[in-house]
Amino acid sequence: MATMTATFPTTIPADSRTQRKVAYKDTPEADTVRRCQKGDDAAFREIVEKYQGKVFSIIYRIVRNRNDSEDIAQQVFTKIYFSIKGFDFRSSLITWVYKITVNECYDYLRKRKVRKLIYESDMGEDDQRTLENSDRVIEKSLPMDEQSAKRQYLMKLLGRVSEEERMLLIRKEVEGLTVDELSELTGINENTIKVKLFRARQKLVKAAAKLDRAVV
Amino acid sequence: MDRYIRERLEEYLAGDLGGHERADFERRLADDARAAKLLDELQNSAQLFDTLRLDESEEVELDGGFYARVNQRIEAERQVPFWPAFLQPAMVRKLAFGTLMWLFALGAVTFYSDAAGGVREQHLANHILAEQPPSEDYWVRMGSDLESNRRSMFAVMMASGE
Repeated sequence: MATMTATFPTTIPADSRTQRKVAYKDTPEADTVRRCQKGDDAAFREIVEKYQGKVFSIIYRIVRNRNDSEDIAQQVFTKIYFSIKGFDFRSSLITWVYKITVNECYDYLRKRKVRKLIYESDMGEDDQRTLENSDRVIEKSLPMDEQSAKRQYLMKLLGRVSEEERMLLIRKEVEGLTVDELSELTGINENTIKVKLFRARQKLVKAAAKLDRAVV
Repeated sequence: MDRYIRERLEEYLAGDLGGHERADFERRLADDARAAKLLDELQNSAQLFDTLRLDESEEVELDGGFYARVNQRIEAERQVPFWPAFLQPAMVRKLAFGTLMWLFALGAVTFYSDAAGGVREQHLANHILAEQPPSEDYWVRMGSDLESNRRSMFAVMMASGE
């Protein structure tokens, strides 16, 4: 990891200074993207084959279900196919793909929650009581895996930060990217990345305190 | 929070702060209770991310043929615009023929219904008159004599029971 000797800014600098000059338009990958934007299916195939493993891995870490992960991964690439014309090279392709992936995961988690609520609301009072009792029995006999509970908690907390903060935190904490790497991938300078990460972490702490108070 | 601590926070949380710097960081932390508390909370929340890491035993490989499945999905979701179909010559001919037929049918219906309408109304009037010839009481004749007119109207009203 690069040694950070620059002073830590207290505020995010003005736009002109936050952007790190990375020529995303001049990379070989940009060429593939441009071909894809022109409707070249071979270029799209290159993109899918390059990133499918990474995308699937990210989804699986969040969702922990193979079938659903594959379904979401398909949806991610379908979305990429239909919206790549709007990709403007302001960040690296992987950063853009990553954003779509994490958003699709959240979409999935939200839909799953809604489906459960609809399913329960369709039931009569007796059925709901039976379900609640059976849930309690299941919880007692099969207590939710501590890791799963923590994961759910984390996803709730991550739902309280912005899309960009969420992406930075996951890439830093889960994939172990350094500030320098994040800077290179996002086109945002290192100091700004540090400020954004610090703020995102503070938001997580606040959200956790709020959530814990609500439970108590 | 101390600026020195904030500057090195990310490296400290990542465990990348080396010997001397780490000791210095922790010494400063010991002098700043608020920063120490915040750092503790930040570390706790950072630990939650461990739950998103995978065990080495977990296999996260996609099954083969993923690109083909993505393609199928794209085809299913692709919305083909319908209007270019109307510009095909065969479709243009069919549309023109259909429009002409429709106009012809509409014209024929309008013509026959107008012609038949007058005859039908006349038949209806004759039928009513033949069934119920008007009573003499209803033969109201209006003239220049106002008194006579009033009497006639009065007689009609009386006869109809109003």
